[in-house]
Amino acid sequence: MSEEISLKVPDEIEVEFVSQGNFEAELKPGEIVKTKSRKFADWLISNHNLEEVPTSAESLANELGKIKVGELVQKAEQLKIENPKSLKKDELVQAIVKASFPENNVGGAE
Amino acid sequence: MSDTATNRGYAWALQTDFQTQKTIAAAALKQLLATDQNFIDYQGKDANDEDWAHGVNSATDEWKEAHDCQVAHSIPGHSQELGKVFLLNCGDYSISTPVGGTLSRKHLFKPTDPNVTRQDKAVTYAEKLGAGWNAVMPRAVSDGFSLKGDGLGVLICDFNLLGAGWIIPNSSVTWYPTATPTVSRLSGLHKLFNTQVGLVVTDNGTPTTYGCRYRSFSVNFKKTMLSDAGYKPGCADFLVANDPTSGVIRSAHEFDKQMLDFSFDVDMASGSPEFAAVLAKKPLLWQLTATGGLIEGTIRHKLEVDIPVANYSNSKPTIKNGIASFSITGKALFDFVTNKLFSLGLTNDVLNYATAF
Repeated sequence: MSEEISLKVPDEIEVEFVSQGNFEAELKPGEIVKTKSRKFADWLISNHNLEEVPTSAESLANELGKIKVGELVQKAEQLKIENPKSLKKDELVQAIVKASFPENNVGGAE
Repeated sequence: MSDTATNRGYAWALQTDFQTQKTIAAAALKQLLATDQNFIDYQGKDANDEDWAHGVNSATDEWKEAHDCQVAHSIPGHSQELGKVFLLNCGDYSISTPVGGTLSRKHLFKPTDPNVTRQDKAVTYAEKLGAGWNAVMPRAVSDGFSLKGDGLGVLICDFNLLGAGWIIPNSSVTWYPTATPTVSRLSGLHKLFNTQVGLVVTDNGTPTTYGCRYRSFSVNFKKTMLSDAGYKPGCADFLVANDPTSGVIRSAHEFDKQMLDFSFDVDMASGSPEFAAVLAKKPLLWQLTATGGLIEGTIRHKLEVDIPVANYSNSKPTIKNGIASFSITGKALFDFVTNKLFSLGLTNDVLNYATAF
């Protein structure tokens, strides 16, 4: 057992619930499931195509920093960020982080 | 006191983890519809001073170091109840909704992946007999099951519940007709019969549908258990909490190996194809289904046993009820293509076994 791991359920998935022994996960398309078991997380990723997602704004920013601009634009469009193609890479990263972790926004209220 | 069906009862409830006993509250436990009359078998792990240098030729003292207990049960093949035994034994579990279904679910069980955990689910088990026995056995796990069909009857499932050594003999469990009992009764169960079974064995893409030649089957899943390792001296897990003289109970009960063998009887066919498969050690796809009544639309109660790599050990000519037959035995081998030893599919109206009992 270690830190909590967040996993995104694919948008299309046939199963609604899975378990391995006492580890259980309800799988709703597009939603995030959390587990503290690294082994269970790895099993969900390899057997049910869940995707590990960063659990903090800082780790997300680090991950996004390694991705090419074109892919960032795609992610931004999925998050419905306006005019992503007009943004520079660091602006794209900030916008995606802001959209993904709204609770971390400071002074960002409209 | 005479034994009758009304003064004998069994019940169980899933625990959230191995160590945490299910809280005994109204409707917390579900009836276990056993066909047998078995009760908890307690075994104390005793030791004595027989070989110590006390100068006499007999033991002078005996003490309890640990506790152990188990019970064996058989249940009829109710579509809804079989899944409870499967869940305890096959912890790789998933649920999907059949196409066109709203009330029905398909439950798929495979042996637990030991890369994730070796601790299968545990239950808090309860039983009563007459006025003098109302016991609870928490932390009970199962070490396999035997599912079988024969003749015209209902399918039967045999299984063991292995306790941690912890028995509460005078429990607070209450049974019907007590008002708001802690054991809730079962209703709306759907039976699966041997006469609903279909068997298809596929050899290198060529299926053989047994149809009228099919007679009986038995599928036996067995887990060897790390029973001794479950007693963990460092856990200070004693029969009586905070009484270090009361003997230890298990703090975990993990499985070691997982294995499945099977047997079935069929009327003879010319050419003895089953015996030829024994000699050739052919890897066969072995699929058994039992299709029951309607749940909704065209969706039926259904049991599906799927062994992707079945290997026959023997095919012995026998005479059963005057019919020339073959009794075939075999075992399942792990299949890397489907990533499983076997799977059990169960379509019924249970929404989720993880919350069903």
